[in-house]
Amino acid sequence: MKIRKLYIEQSAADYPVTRHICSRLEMPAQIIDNPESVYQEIGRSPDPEKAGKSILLLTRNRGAFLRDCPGTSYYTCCGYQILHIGTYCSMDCAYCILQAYFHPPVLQFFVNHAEMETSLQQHFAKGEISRIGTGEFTDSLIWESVYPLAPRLVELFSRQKACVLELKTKTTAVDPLLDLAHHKKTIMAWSLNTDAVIANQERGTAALGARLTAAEKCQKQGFPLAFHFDPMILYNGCYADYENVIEQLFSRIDPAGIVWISLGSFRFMPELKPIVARRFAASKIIYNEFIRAIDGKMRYFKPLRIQLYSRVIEAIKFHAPEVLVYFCMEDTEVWQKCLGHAPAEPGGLPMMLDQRAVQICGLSGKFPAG
Amino acid sequence: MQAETLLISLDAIDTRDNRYQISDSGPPEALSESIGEAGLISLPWVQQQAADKAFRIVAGFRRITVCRKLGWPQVTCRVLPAGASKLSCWKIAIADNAVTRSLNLLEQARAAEGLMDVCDGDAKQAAQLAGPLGLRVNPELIRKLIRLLALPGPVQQAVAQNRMSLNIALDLESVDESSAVAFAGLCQNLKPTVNHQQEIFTGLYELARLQDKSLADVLARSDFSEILHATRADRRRQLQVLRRTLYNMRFPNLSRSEAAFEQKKKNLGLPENMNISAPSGFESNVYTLTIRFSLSRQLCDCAEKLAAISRNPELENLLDRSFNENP
Repeated sequence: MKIRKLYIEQSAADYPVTRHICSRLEMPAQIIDNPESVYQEIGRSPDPEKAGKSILLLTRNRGAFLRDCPGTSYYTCCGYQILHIGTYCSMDCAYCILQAYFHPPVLQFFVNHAEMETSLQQHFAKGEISRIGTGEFTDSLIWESVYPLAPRLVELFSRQKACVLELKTKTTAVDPLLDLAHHKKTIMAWSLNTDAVIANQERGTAALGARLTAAEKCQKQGFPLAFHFDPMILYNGCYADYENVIEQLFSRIDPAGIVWISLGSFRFMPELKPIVARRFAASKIIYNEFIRAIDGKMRYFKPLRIQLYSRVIEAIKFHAPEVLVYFCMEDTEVWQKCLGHAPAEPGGLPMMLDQRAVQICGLSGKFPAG
Repeated sequence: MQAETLLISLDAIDTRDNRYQISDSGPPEALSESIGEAGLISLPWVQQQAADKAFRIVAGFRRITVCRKLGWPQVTCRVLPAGASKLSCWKIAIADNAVTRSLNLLEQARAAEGLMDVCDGDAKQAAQLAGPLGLRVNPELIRKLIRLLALPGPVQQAVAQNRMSLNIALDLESVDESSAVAFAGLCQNLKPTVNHQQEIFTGLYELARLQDKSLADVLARSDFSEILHATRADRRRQLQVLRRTLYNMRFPNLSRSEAAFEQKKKNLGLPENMNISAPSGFESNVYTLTIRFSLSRQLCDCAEKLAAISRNPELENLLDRSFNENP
């Protein structure tokens, strides 16, 4: 993470996390009363999405630390909960929806960790099986160079039995976690993609081989693993490339330790298109055969998605017939045609994943109602 | 502004110096007739370049052209001194043109460029100066107009002639010159509406990106060139065929599914007042039936027909989504 400027919101200045980050970054910080000036500075930049990646704003999370994943009604959501630790990402992926999701996009790290831990403890106290992740509004591990949050979370989750933490990343920053007593309550997860996608659409992320090496290290230390093929991108030769990724994955990772593999194809809010066209002029990912889907997002024409998923699932099942594969935000038709089943009611996909977490991560507790 | 009214020789007017020219086209026939009949009612403005040197035209390029064609040896002009500022000259040039007629976008662009020059690139100041001269432009429009002047001539002409919107023209900054010229030619020939211009440009641009070709190369494909060069074809029909061809190429799988659906719907033989619509993009599996009627007995009639349709095996065929498995 290359931070060019550090801003601290006045109300966040006295927190231990803030002091830790300031001493770690060794750069002058500017105290501000209101983040509006930072937003304006980013907004004025010719490339606000890039500018937001080098400006770090330390602030307090004034809203809920635990939030439901923002799924939409028509498509099946995994129902995991987001632990809201910060926003945006220092890596630069062409397809990243965060570029259009935040206005403007800025690296914010929330420093009121005592409140975060209180939220978590209150949640743990319910004893309800749940899956909690930090990788929705940011990458779970990019912050480790400025603040060691992940080790603390691993430790917190290891002390209870009902909830599992999923740390989702495209980095390899796992070394500080390897020796922790995680008690299988942290799933280490990687977004995977083909070498071509990583090289052409993901600036500043770790190479596929490096991600798998990091995953291998975690598996050796007993961490449960997960992999997310999301977003899968259609291009000439993509089927063979995805099959190759799966081959590499299972040549290095024991499928018995994989909690789940998710699949999702490239989808985006229409507002992302001009941003990708401007910032990634060589990228063609926005010019494929998209339709406006029921939730307003652009998705590949459904038969194209079905064909891509089917090929990838076939390859996964060849290597690991028992592994749980699910779709991120797909409908019943896609489930049926690609997997031969759709998540059963009651409980649906969330229940299916909760049960898997119980099985692999040794969770115990009551299943959430509904 | 100090100016003298003088009778000067047309030979003393340097017509190559067109720095203040705003008008876009040659003189209209009506102007020639008017000057031939009634003489010069509104005098051209010229500026003496230096003592004993030729005059440059500030306003009245077309009038002077007509006078020359009429074979006049001399013409009465309002003459500005050599020391008159650029700002004064531009004010006269713009007011003389803009007060008597509406300027097309290319002419506005030339006027805006002149004002931006005297305002050192300050678009806000240029807009303030332009208003009282009869040129209603805001700073944002000024910046866009200036960009128009950097585009190839055929694109400028298409905008001047209202065959292409200014925004589409500016989109052409992202393509090579031959592509921009080819697209301008398409607009000149087919006169698409602004919405259609946007649709066609977007389709061609994205297709070109996908195929690693230039937009001109895509337009040169036989599918398109046959449409564009069809002789004695109805322009609206040409445009319709072009849009359909482009859509089919841009969305090959979706358009195939749509065509198959329409064929199956035809096989179903729906009465004229009923229609079945496919879900948008075939994304969901919810189809829509529409019935048009005005009398209750028509609705009863429809209900009977609907019962028969619901038993028709062609309906199952229409709703069958297995086409989705083989794009």
